[in-house]
Amino acid sequence: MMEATMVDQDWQMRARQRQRRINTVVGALFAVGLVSGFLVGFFEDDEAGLLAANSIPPWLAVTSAIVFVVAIGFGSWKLMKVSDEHERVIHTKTTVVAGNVMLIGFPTWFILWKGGLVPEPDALWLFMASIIGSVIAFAWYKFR
Amino acid sequence: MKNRLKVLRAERDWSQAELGARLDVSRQAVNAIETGKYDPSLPLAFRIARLFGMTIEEIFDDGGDHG
Repeated sequence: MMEATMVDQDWQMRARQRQRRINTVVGALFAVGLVSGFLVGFFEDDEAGLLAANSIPPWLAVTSAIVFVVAIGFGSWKLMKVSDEHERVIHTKTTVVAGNVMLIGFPTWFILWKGGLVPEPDALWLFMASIIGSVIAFAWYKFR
Repeated sequence: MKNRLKVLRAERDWSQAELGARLDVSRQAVNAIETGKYDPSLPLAFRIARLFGMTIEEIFDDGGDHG
Protein backbone atom coordinates (compact mmCIF):
# COMPACT_ATOMS: atom_id res chain seq x y z
CA MET A 1 0.00 0.00 0.00
CA MET A 2 2.78 2.37 1.02
CA GLU A 3 4.77 1.43 -2.07
CA ALA A 4 1.74 2.10 -4.27
CA THR A 5 1.30 5.51 -2.67
CA MET A 6 4.97 6.36 -3.27
CA VAL A 7 4.72 5.36 -6.94
CA ASP A 8 1.53 7.39 -7.17
CA GLN A 9 3.24 10.47 -5.74
CA ASP A 10 6.29 9.89 -7.94
CA TRP A 11 4.44 10.09 -11.28
CA GLN A 12 2.46 13.09 -10.12
CA MET A 13 5.67 14.83 -9.06
CA ARG A 14 7.32 14.06 -12.42
CA ALA A 15 4.27 15.39 -14.29
CA ARG A 16 4.37 18.60 -12.25
CA GLN A 17 8.13 18.99 -12.80
CA ARG A 18 7.67 18.48 -16.53
CA GLN A 19 4.92 21.10 -16.71
CA ARG A 20 6.96 23.48 -14.54
CA ARG A 21 9.93 23.25 -16.94
CA ILE A 22 7.69 24.20 -19.87
CA ASN A 23 5.98 26.99 -17.90
CA THR A 24 9.37 28.42 -16.89
CA VAL A 25 10.55 28.71 -20.50
CA VAL A 26 7.25 30.16 -21.76
CA GLY A 27 7.05 32.51 -18.74
CA ALA A 28 10.63 33.74 -19.27
CA LEU A 29 9.92 34.46 -22.95
CA PHE A 30 6.70 36.26 -22.01
CA ALA A 31 8.57 38.35 -19.40
CA VAL A 32 11.28 39.33 -21.92
CA GLY A 33 8.58 40.35 -24.42
CA LEU A 34 6.74 42.32 -21.77
CA VAL A 35 9.84 44.26 -20.68
CA SER A 36 10.88 44.92 -24.31
CA GLY A 37 7.40 46.13 -25.18
CA PHE A 38 7.28 48.37 -22.14
CA LEU A 39 10.68 49.93 -22.96
CA VAL A 40 9.76 50.51 -26.60
CA GLY A 41 6.48 52.09 -25.54
CA PHE A 42 8.20 54.21 -22.89
CA PHE A 43 10.87 55.62 -25.22
CA GLU A 44 8.74 55.83 -28.38
CA ASP A 45 8.20 59.27 -29.89
CA ASP A 46 4.56 60.09 -29.18
CA GLU A 47 4.37 62.36 -32.22
CA ALA A 48 5.35 59.58 -34.61
CA GLY A 49 2.88 56.91 -35.68
CA LEU A 50 2.95 53.38 -34.28
CA LEU A 51 4.63 51.98 -37.39
CA ALA A 52 6.78 55.03 -38.25
CA ALA A 53 10.56 54.70 -38.73
CA ASN A 54 12.99 56.50 -36.39
CA SER A 55 10.44 56.55 -33.56
CA ILE A 56 12.66 54.91 -30.90
CA PRO A 57 16.32 55.62 -29.97
CA PRO A 58 18.89 53.61 -32.01
CA TRP A 59 20.40 52.06 -28.82
CA LEU A 60 16.96 50.69 -27.88
CA ALA A 61 16.37 49.41 -31.41
CA VAL A 62 19.71 47.56 -31.42
CA THR A 63 19.22 46.24 -27.88
CA SER A 64 15.66 45.08 -28.64
CA ALA A 65 16.78 43.35 -31.84
CA ILE A 66 19.60 41.51 -30.04
CA VAL A 67 17.34 40.53 -27.12
CA PHE A 68 14.69 39.30 -29.57
CA VAL A 69 17.07 37.15 -31.60
CA VAL A 70 18.78 35.70 -28.51
CA ALA A 71 15.50 35.12 -26.63
CA ILE A 72 13.74 33.48 -29.58
CA GLY A 73 16.81 31.43 -30.52
CA PHE A 74 17.59 30.26 -26.99
CA GLY A 75 13.91 30.01 -26.02
CA SER A 76 13.06 27.84 -29.03
CA TRP A 77 16.02 25.56 -28.34
CA LYS A 78 15.12 25.31 -24.65
CA LEU A 79 11.45 24.70 -25.42
CA MET A 80 12.42 21.86 -27.75
CA LYS A 81 14.56 20.38 -24.96
CA VAL A 82 11.74 20.37 -22.39
CA SER A 83 8.99 19.29 -24.83
CA ASP A 84 8.16 15.67 -25.53
CA GLU A 85 8.39 14.24 -29.05
CA HIS A 86 4.69 14.81 -29.78
CA GLU A 87 4.99 18.49 -28.86
CA ARG A 88 8.19 18.80 -30.92
CA VAL A 89 6.36 17.42 -33.97
CA ILE A 90 3.54 19.92 -33.37
CA HIS A 91 6.05 22.79 -33.07
CA THR A 92 7.74 21.71 -36.29
CA LYS A 93 4.45 21.42 -38.20
CA THR A 94 3.33 24.78 -36.81
CA THR A 95 6.55 26.41 -38.02
CA VAL A 96 6.10 24.83 -41.45
CA VAL A 97 2.57 26.27 -41.68
CA ALA A 98 3.85 29.73 -40.70
CA GLY A 99 6.64 29.49 -43.28
CA ASN A 100 4.27 28.36 -46.01
CA VAL A 101 1.94 31.28 -45.32
CA MET A 102 4.91 33.56 -46.07
CA LEU A 103 6.27 31.50 -49.00
CA ILE A 104 2.91 31.20 -50.72
CA GLY A 105 1.39 34.45 -49.48
CA PHE A 106 4.07 36.83 -50.71
CA PRO A 107 4.33 35.61 -54.35
CA THR A 108 0.52 35.47 -54.60
CA TRP A 109 0.15 39.00 -53.24
CA PHE A 110 3.09 40.17 -55.40
CA ILE A 111 1.62 38.87 -58.67
CA LEU A 112 -1.78 40.36 -57.82
CA TRP A 113 -0.01 43.66 -57.10
CA LYS A 114 1.77 43.43 -60.46
CA GLY A 115 -1.63 43.16 -62.05
CA GLY A 116 -2.74 46.31 -60.30
CA LEU A 117 -5.42 44.48 -58.33
CA VAL A 118 -4.17 44.98 -54.75
CA PRO A 119 -1.89 47.36 -52.82
CA GLU A 120 1.85 46.62 -52.61
CA PRO A 121 2.74 43.57 -50.44
CA ASP A 122 3.13 44.54 -46.80
CA ALA A 123 5.58 42.55 -44.65
CA LEU A 124 3.67 43.30 -41.46
CA TRP A 125 0.42 41.82 -42.80
CA LEU A 126 2.27 38.75 -44.05
CA PHE A 127 3.95 38.38 -40.66
CA MET A 128 0.60 38.69 -38.88
CA ALA A 129 -0.94 36.13 -41.25
CA SER A 130 1.88 33.68 -40.55
CA ILE A 131 1.42 34.14 -36.78
CA ILE A 132 -2.34 33.55 -37.08
CA GLY A 133 -1.68 30.53 -39.30
CA SER A 134 0.73 29.06 -36.76
CA VAL A 135 -1.70 29.62 -33.85
CA ILE A 136 -4.53 27.89 -35.76
CA ALA A 137 -2.19 25.04 -36.73
CA PHE A 138 -0.98 24.65 -33.13
CA ALA A 139 -4.57 24.51 -31.82
CA TRP A 140 -5.53 21.99 -34.52
CA TYR A 141 -2.62 19.63 -33.96
CA LYS A 142 -2.68 19.94 -30.17
CA PHE A 143 -6.39 19.74 -29.39
CA ARG A 144 -8.13 18.03 -32.33
CA MET B 1 -1.55 2.72 -36.78
CA LYS B 2 -3.74 0.66 -34.44
CA ASN B 3 -2.56 -0.07 -30.92
CA ARG B 4 -3.65 -1.62 -27.64
CA LEU B 5 -2.40 1.20 -25.45
CA LYS B 6 -5.82 2.24 -24.14
CA VAL B 7 -6.69 -1.35 -23.17
CA LEU B 8 -3.33 -1.96 -21.52
CA ARG B 9 -3.62 1.32 -19.62
CA ALA B 10 -7.16 0.51 -18.48
CA GLU B 11 -6.05 -2.92 -17.27
CA ARG B 12 -3.63 -1.20 -14.92
CA ASP B 13 -6.15 1.48 -13.95
CA TRP B 14 -3.81 4.25 -15.05
CA SER B 15 -4.97 7.63 -16.27
CA GLN B 16 -3.53 9.13 -19.46
CA ALA B 17 -1.65 11.63 -17.29
CA GLU B 18 -0.16 8.82 -15.18
CA LEU B 19 0.93 6.83 -18.22
CA GLY B 20 2.35 10.02 -19.72
CA ALA B 21 4.39 10.70 -16.58
CA ARG B 22 5.68 7.11 -16.54
CA LEU B 23 6.79 7.55 -20.18
CA ASP B 24 7.97 11.16 -19.65
CA VAL B 25 5.54 12.53 -22.24
CA SER B 26 2.46 14.74 -21.95
CA ARG B 27 -1.10 13.51 -21.40
CA GLN B 28 -1.92 14.88 -24.87
CA ALA B 29 0.81 12.69 -26.38
CA VAL B 30 -0.72 9.58 -24.78
CA ASN B 31 -4.16 10.61 -26.03
CA ALA B 32 -2.82 11.23 -29.55
CA ILE B 33 -1.16 7.79 -29.63
CA GLU B 34 -4.22 6.01 -28.25
CA THR B 35 -6.52 7.60 -30.82
CA GLY B 36 -4.11 6.88 -33.67
CA LYS B 37 -3.49 10.54 -34.43
CA TYR B 38 0.20 10.23 -33.69
CA ASP B 39 2.59 7.34 -34.22
CA PRO B 40 5.33 7.29 -31.58
CA SER B 41 9.00 7.28 -32.49
CA LEU B 42 10.89 3.99 -32.24
CA PRO B 43 12.55 4.98 -28.91
CA LEU B 44 9.15 5.85 -27.39
CA ALA B 45 7.61 2.67 -28.78
CA PHE B 46 10.38 0.70 -27.05
CA ARG B 47 9.75 2.60 -23.78
CA ILE B 48 6.05 1.75 -24.02
CA ALA B 49 6.80 -1.90 -24.75
CA ARG B 50 9.24 -2.13 -21.82
CA LEU B 51 6.77 -0.47 -19.46
CA PHE B 52 4.12 -3.08 -20.25
CA GLY B 53 6.62 -5.94 -20.48
CA MET B 54 5.65 -6.72 -24.06
CA THR B 55 7.10 -6.46 -27.55
CA ILE B 56 6.31 -3.54 -29.83
CA GLU B 57 4.40 -5.85 -32.18
CA GLU B 58 2.18 -6.99 -29.31
CA ILE B 59 1.10 -3.38 -28.70
CA PHE B 60 1.22 -1.78 -32.15
CA ASP B 61 -0.27 -3.12 -35.37
CA ASP B 62 0.67 -1.46 -38.65
CA GLY B 63 -1.80 -3.63 -40.54
CA GLY B 64 0.98 -5.31 -42.49
CA ASP B 65 1.35 -9.00 -43.21
CA HIS B 66 3.68 -10.50 -40.60
CA GLY B 67 3.61 -13.99 -42.15
